[in-house]
Amino acid sequence: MKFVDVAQRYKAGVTVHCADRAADGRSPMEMLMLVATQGSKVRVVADGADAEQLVDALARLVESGFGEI
Amino acid sequence: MITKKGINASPGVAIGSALVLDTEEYRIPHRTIDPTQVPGQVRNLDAALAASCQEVGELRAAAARKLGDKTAVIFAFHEQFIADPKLRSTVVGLIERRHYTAAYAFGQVLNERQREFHNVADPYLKERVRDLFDIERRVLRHILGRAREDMTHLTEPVIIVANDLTPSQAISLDRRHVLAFAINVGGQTSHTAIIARMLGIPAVVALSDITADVAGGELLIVDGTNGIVVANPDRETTERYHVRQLEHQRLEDRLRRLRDEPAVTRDGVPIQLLANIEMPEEAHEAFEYGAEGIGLYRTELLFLASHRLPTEEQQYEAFREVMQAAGDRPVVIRTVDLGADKLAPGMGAQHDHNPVLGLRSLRYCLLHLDMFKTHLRAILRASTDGDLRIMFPMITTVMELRQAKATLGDVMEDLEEEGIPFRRDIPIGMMVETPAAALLAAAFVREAAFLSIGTNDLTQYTLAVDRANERVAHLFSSHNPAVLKLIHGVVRATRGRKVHVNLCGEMAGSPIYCQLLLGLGLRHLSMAPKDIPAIKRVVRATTVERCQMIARKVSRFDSDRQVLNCLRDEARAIEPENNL
Repeated sequence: MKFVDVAQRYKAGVTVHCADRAADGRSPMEMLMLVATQGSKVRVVADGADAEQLVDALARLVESGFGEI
Repeated sequence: MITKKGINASPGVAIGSALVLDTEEYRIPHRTIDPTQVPGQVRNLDAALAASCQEVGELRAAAARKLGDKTAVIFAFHEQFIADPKLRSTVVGLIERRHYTAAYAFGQVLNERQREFHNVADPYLKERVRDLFDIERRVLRHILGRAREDMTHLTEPVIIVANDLTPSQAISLDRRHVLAFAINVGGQTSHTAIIARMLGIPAVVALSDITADVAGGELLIVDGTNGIVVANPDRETTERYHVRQLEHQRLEDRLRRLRDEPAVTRDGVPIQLLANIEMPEEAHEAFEYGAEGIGLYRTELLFLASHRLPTEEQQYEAFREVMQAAGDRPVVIRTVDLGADKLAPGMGAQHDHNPVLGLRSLRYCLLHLDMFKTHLRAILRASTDGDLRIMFPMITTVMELRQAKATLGDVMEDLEEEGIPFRRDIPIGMMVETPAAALLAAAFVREAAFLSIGTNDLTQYTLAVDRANERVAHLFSSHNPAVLKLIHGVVRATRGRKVHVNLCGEMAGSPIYCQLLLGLGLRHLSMAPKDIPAIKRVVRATTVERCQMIARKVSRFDSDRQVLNCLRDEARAIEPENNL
């Protein structure tokens, strides 16, 4: 999973929220269970030294369509 | 300690460690552990996760090389998932707090994740469930480690625990190290039961879910005589069974010594006791037990042993070995009876909706003449040594028998043209195992040199019961009055003719039926080698006059229960220590 790959490159912790669910952005198991289907809205919250860079990187990934579109 | 009751399939007592053969649904031993075992289970889990990760990593690299990056990406996900510390910590949590085994804990965690996907509409995500199944299988395989030991190369004696054993699994076993079988499904005449009796090892079947209650390596007691399996027995139980084991051994030895005594009733009537075998090696064993010949050589295993059809030479070698072991004793080879539960891989994926009633056995052979003729060639070539007879299975009409004989005739002509020797007047017989054949026995005696009553299938077809289906296996009974009536009819049809008749189903080897069968007029019985001594004992202890009285008595009953009770009483009357 590209999302997790990117998240794991940074030191900051990151939580991803979708509807009423939340998942640790660095855990493939939890991210899978987030069931964030295409088009759903997610909120990314990062906390740590490189939190800003992490969020930026993730935003870029999502905007680029994960390289899949 | 867990005690489970099933159906007794092969007598004797075995005490040993379990080897659980996994199938998709029955893989996880549903067990908790002692708190002291927690660190061990965690270590087990970590080792399994690491091994799985490595395995997937290798698969990903190989996939990238051969199929490109897109496919490799799938494995990347698996790798990530397995390496996820959150996954590990969730599983470890269950092990530590609830004292689950690593396997059970891992299975639980994955199952929960899989269940959550049931409510997802998105097709892409639904596909991911497959990934989870795959991951579960892979990691469980590593956790359960020993349970996946290769069956063909066992290094120490084990008790095989499985949902079912296919015939090909059974023959590929390393027999020297198999102590017993404990099986979820089946009945007394299912394949595993027959093979266990042939091997002379205890077996209990129809245990429903023994595979879920036993972990690989666990100590098991299998009491094949009473249909009981004890998992993780306490010392007292183990000692008690050990004593029973010795007793059983002593009884077996006594019976073996009967080998050289003649099988003659007290009123001087000789009964020919023959053996059923499935492979050449068993021929030697058969004669060890005092068999006067081979009444049924089942050729199916030749066709199940490998992925390809056996060559003429391979078949010929097997037949020749049996003929040599037999010397001048008669040997009956039955042509291949494949189909139903015995489909061979080389036959192609043709699935009958109702295999037992479908394209199997002789019907299959008559539609696949290449294979059939090769088979017949091998049999005919082996007929130059000794007293070989050939028999066709599953005959239902006279036309079918004629067709088979005509095909045999064609093969004989071919061999003659090629100058290959064979016995031209080889006796040709048939199995009477369908109700049609039994009811029209009078017509068949004009066309066959001998008849062989196959009570396993005859009972199955007459009572419409699948003997391998443990939900109805208890309805299968060879002493059902309808079956007995058919047997009697067949024997009567041969009276006054040169055609002789034998009975080769499991019934023949069961002491409780012996007097009845003799009373119905049978003088030739073919059975598993290890059953011969016990039958001989009954023969030597009874008279034909008495047997006929029993048969007359039984013919008045219309229920299985009455028949069985009567037979039990009669068996006990002549042989009080008979193990029924």
